[in-house]
Amino acid sequence: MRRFFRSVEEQALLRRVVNRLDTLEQLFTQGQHEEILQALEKLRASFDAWNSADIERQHNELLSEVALSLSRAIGLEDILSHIVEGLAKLVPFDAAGVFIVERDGKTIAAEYLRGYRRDSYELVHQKVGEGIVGRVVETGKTMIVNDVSQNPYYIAARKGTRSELAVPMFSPASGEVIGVFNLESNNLNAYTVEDAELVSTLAANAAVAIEREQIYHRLIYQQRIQEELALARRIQQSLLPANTNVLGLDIYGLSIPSEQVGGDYYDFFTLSHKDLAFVMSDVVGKGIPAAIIMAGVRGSLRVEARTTYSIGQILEHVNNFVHSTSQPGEFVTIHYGVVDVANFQITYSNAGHNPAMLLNKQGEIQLLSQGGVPIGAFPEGKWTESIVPFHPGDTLLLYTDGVTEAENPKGQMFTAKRLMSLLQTCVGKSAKEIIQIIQQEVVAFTEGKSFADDMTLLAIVFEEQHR
Amino acid sequence: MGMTHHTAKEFGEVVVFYLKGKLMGGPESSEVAEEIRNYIASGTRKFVIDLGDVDWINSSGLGMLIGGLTSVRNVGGTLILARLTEKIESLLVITKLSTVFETCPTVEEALTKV
Repeated sequence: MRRFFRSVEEQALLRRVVNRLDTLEQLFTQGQHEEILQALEKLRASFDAWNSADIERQHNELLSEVALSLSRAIGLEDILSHIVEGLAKLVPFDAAGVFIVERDGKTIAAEYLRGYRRDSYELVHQKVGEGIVGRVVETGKTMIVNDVSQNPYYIAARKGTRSELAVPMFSPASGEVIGVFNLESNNLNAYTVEDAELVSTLAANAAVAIEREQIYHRLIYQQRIQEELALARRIQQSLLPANTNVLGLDIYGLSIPSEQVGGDYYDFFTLSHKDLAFVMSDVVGKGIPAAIIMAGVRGSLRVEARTTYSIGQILEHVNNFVHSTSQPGEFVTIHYGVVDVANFQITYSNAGHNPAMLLNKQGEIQLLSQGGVPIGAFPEGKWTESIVPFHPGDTLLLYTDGVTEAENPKGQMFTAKRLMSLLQTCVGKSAKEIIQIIQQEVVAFTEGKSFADDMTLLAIVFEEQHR
Repeated sequence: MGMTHHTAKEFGEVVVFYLKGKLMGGPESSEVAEEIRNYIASGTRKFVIDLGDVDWINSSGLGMLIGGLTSVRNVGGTLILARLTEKIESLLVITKLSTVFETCPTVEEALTKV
């Protein structure tokens, strides 16, 4: 034990002991027996006072050791082990455990154990409100149990235990009970109020370490989720075809998920030397669940489009796939069609999606709304095909409701009407120009309010020079 | 952004759900779907959903209605949507769900038809 650092109070007490010894020495030399007895009595009192101060100093030394180990130790287990080891010098125990309330707020996990059998079922399956530890979590009050056999809350988790001390640990941040510091002894009446106070101080130190560890893990976890989401976003973006110019068609698409990943997608691919298939689709919901369904829909639609001729049948097959793999209430709206550049026409079917806008050279717009119900909503359905003329100079615009339902701060929506008026000004423009104009207009309309939904646009311009 | 409120009332063998606010998926929507399933489990086969005070439905909200309709039809029951606003009517037309859902201008009429 180090004896160099003494508190002012302790120094004063020690000085008194020394003074009394001096007095005693004088009395002895003078032979005054009555006074010697009185002086001895006073000396004993002073010595006791100093002695107890010395114990306090040992406690303080322990605390500073713990504080030091907090700054040194890396893992939580190391820290708790330091604390419990230090404690063993001051408070006797046969078993010690540090228990932490799980995130569900109902179960309690053993974070550090010493002197217990680790496979004890009662030890690892503790619940808030049950047992001594569970009771302390519930009440937030220290329990000194002099005789566990007489305590109604006691659940035996260890053979030989006769008395117990359980001290709550409080979150330094919120003040809530985050766990329990628990000591068990094979002797009756092993713990005093003073022991409880000392353990409380240590428990507070343990709580800091525990909370720090928990925050650290949460940060690591969040970081990992962010990394995985970023990866998912890259994968999803890579599923979108590159903007291109094919079969005399100028094609430009854009998809902005409101979260890292989304349920919107567009697609296009050539089916022959004159046919280009196009898709605009919106999966119910947002985020990861929508993205998973989206990937499935995209795959099945690509396969069906290449193996089945009839658009109605293609959608029936995709409906079977989506309905059999989705939850009730999940569905996908799909606008699917084929541009035939040799016969100047589009054959399409609209499964519950916002109608595509077909703009001709005169600035007139036709809405492509024929088809059927959304895909996946019901086990069966019929999707009708329609044919519309499509000539050089015409533009097909497909979009999702994230565009028409984009809200401004007043809660007004962009609307299909506004999109139509805007599109009418786009005769003769390239696909990229059209998409950029719409995007800028939507952003200006929403006045920087973040988009609540995924926003996706695809323009297909039949180029004039193509013959 | 979710639905602000919903209540359910029984009229004989028909259960009427009164929805209010925005129907945007979310926990309140799942509550309605759950309640419909509970009513079905306890024997109810006829449902009316009053949408007169619903300002907006998004696709997740539609999903809830479709889920409800599917659960009801699976047990041979009926579900009618009542008091559709113009906005919601046009949404059902766009999504072609108007061909699937039976609708009524008033709850009273729905009660006689369901």
